[in-house]
Amino acid sequence: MLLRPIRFAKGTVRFRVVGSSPERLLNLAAQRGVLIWDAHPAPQGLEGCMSAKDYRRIRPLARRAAVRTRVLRKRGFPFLAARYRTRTGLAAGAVLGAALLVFLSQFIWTIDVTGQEHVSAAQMKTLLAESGVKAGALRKGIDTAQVRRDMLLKVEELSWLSVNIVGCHADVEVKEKIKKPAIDETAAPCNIKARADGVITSVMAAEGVARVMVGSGVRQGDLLISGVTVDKQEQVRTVRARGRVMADVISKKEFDMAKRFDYFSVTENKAARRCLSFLTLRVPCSLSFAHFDDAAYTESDDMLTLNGTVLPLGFVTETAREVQREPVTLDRAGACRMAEKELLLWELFHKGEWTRVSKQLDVIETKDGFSCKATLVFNEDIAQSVDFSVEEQP
Amino acid sequence: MAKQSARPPRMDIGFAPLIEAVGNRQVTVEGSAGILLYESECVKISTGRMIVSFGGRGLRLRCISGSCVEISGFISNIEFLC
Repeated sequence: MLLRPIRFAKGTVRFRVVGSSPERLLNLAAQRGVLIWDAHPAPQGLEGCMSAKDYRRIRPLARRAAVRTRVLRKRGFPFLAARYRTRTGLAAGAVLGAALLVFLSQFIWTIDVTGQEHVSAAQMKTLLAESGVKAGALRKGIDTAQVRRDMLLKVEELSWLSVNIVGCHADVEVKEKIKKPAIDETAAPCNIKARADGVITSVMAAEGVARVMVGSGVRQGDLLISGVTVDKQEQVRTVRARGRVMADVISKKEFDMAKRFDYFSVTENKAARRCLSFLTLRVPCSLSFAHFDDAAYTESDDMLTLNGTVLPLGFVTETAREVQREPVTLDRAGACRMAEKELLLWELFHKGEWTRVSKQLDVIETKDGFSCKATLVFNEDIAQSVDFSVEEQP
Repeated sequence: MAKQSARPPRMDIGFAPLIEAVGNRQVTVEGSAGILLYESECVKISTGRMIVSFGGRGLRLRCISGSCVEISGFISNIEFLC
């Protein structure tokens, strides 16, 4: 398998021997340690192959054997180099290419972060870039121990981090801390009381005695599950009451909306600037400039990917879209639509875990705008632990 | 009664050529002293004490070195000429 590359590097000659006794040349050559391969009979003699260096050695042997030799074909690197000897540009290009390869090998090209579950890879890459690990950073300038210390201080969720630089690739392996589960270690007795007014829909007492039934109406602060229990021997015992009490709770939300306001919208006018991105360099490829008073900017990249690895070479497009300011006068129907959207967001962020039972929205037109009043009923857990102290009386 | 061995009696083969054949397509002769005749139908190799003749079709010398010759082709007969 290695024979062909070695022969190519040394250079080979296919030759023809013409004469009365070409076998004699083969014997003389073999005696002198000249290796001949692929010899076969040819008209008036034979043909074979040998290394270019050996071909010079067999000339006196050919005279002794009274045969004539003739080169049929030359192959290999020495002949190739001789052919391009006068073309200095090729040699200069090869040297320059090799130098460029060595120079670019000094930088980090790709970064891969593995092992994170809750911390995002983008956040990790941003923090790594702050610590000096980024595409285009000098490989020798990265102190992996320092990066490790910095990252563990910056990201509290990490328990372990390792930066492995292999060639031009930085592989960052992380392990996140296992969060301690919330365990209520308080041993003090407590009652479960109502956090808000409502109508009970279900009671699940894990510890303690339920004091309300399904359908009962309760006010804020009412006892729901008692931490004081009486056993069969009529002995009083205090426990830390635990449980889940679901109730329909009325929630009210009020907000105002102005009649006239400025509405910002993105128009079709845009200016895209394309840049060639390589490591940390950016070379502009287009001459368009944004000339808008107000604009929204977006950036998208189209990087070269090789075997699933994103290389720091490609095009980055910065797009500026014109933002138009438009005065809007709100009518009643529009106010209702906006109020609905506002309520939906409030529900999502404040009551997201509970089920909505009913909703009533009133939009009242005022002098300056609209006043919205929403009454919503949510089925939510109203259980709230309230500690109490026990004193023994003499 | 002495037990008879199936192996042939030992001989002095120190100067004899070593001929290794792979079917009838390839033969390696170690201990060659020179090629006496090289044609596509016949190759004669001197081994000092004898001449080994290979007959066949399309015979080629794949490799020739100081004491080793490798012949390939369709070999139909091998003769030892003393």
